[in-house]
Amino acid sequence: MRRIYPAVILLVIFTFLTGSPTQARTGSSITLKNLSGFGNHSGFLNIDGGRIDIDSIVKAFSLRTSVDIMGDRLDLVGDGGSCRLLLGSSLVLSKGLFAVLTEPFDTIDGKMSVPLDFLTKGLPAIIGKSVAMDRERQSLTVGPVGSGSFQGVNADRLDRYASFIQRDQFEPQAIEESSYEGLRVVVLDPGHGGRSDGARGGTGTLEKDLVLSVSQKLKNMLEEDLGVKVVLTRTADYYVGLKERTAIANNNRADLFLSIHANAAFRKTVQGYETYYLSFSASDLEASQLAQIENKALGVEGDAREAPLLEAILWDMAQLEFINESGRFANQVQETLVRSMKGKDRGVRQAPLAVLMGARMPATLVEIGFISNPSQEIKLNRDAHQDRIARALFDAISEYNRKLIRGEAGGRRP
Amino acid sequence: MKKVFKVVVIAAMAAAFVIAALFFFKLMPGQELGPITGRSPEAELEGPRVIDLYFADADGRRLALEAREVTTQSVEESIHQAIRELIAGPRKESLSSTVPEGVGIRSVYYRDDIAYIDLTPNISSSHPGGSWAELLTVYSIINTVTENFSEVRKVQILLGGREHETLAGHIDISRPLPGRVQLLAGDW
Repeated sequence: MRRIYPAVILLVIFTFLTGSPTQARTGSSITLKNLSGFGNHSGFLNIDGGRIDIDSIVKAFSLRTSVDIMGDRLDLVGDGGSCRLLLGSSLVLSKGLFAVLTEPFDTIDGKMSVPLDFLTKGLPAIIGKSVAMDRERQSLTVGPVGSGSFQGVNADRLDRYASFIQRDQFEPQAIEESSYEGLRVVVLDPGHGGRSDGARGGTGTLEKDLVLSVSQKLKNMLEEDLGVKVVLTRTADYYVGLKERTAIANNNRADLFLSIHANAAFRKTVQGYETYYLSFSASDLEASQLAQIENKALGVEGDAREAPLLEAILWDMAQLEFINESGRFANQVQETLVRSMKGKDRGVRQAPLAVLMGARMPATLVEIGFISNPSQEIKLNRDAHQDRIARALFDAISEYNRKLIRGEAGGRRP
Repeated sequence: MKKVFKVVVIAAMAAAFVIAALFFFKLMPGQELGPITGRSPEAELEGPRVIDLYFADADGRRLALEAREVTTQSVEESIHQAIRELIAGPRKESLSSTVPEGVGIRSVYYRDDIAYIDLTPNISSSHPGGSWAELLTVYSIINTVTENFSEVRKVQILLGGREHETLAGHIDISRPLPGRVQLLAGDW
């Protein structure tokens, strides 16, 4: 006997009450209409600044929720499954996989909300149906029963993670439109400090002093000529932990993080410029680690001793969603620096740099010359040379900012 | 006829019971059904063997190989000897050291696929600094172990007996790490 399942294809139309997506950003409701008459998906989705109320998603799709005692994890449960959101994190965890949202799950003015792309990235896992968003027709198509798939990545696809982010069906740029005003907050990180001298030149020049001086010059230039707020991770010669530096950037909601270092090599002849951004590879996050995330996130394991490990993994993954943008910014820095200083180009490189892990914005580390090279050390000590380096870095940041405003770069909020 | 049927039923039940019992015991956690196979850390190596040490090229861009013979018996002793040779530096003029002079090995041990290389903390203060130089130092040590000793899957570098975030302020060494042979081509 051939059993015919009713084709449950729900076409849910978003009717923008305000009519225009630009106004939608300033706070508006979206009516969720159910044209086919099937199912129970109806209600309002409240959109504000490109974000949706969790409450309205819960009502519209009849979901169940649970929040843990600490209030930093939210589980959304529906007929098709569940997913977990972590407060302040852009990760959606479900069925051993994770997807990355364009913005974190957060509480704004006492209301929990997620960015719009949650509808296509997280919702399918909960309702067990595919969800497609058509920006042109302002519609949300909720697909047949059982077609729901979670768009996460698993361990062996991590190397191609960047392309996964770009391949996203829904383009949030359409919602944000050209409202992006460019950089607002830049965090500069003068490397080392205090008990950590960093590299030491042959005549005793210390990296920590040199990079602080360049950072302060750059801060003044950025504030005066670009009008952005600049925060330094240290303003004098004292020690700041690597995680603390990233935390300063995260807490200030920085749009850009630039760690400034001076280079050194075992051989004194080496010279030139290098710019770094964080590396990720499948070996950094192995299947076993992802399994632990899954178990933790879905509450399978209750072993509190492993919580710090999860924290560490999530921290390590924070930069993942900004990796393309970090690469773009690193290229800008390197290109401008090499051109301005007429120095040897040692290239943009990726490496597992501890100070960049956990940064929730585009983040790079620049090496402003080899202090271990005697002739470079003399130059690096000159005030005029430091001015030129700061100016080159300023040019790189302002060019990156121009590209952000023109929409050629994604920035912190794509 | 009925009797035959009864016998068949009893035989079937007995078989089902045996199968169920087998499954039950097999699925019991912690049951060891046979000896653990694989090499123990104390497995003896046969005579001298040639290993590749991972030094840096003159420009400090990539790792480069130089062969050495190790003669000791256990895996841990062989790793110890390899790291000692690595610290002593390359013989070829065209290669560069990756570990500063004066760094000592506190201990080497090996457990569950992971080799622990415990170095004296002066490696931090005597390291030239520089992100790439530090990367080459870290992975010259890790590669030298993982690429020569197939028993070792990952290496945890310790300083003064403790885990550290980094060696000299840049490269993450907070956990056991696998090798990166791509660094021979200067690629991460």
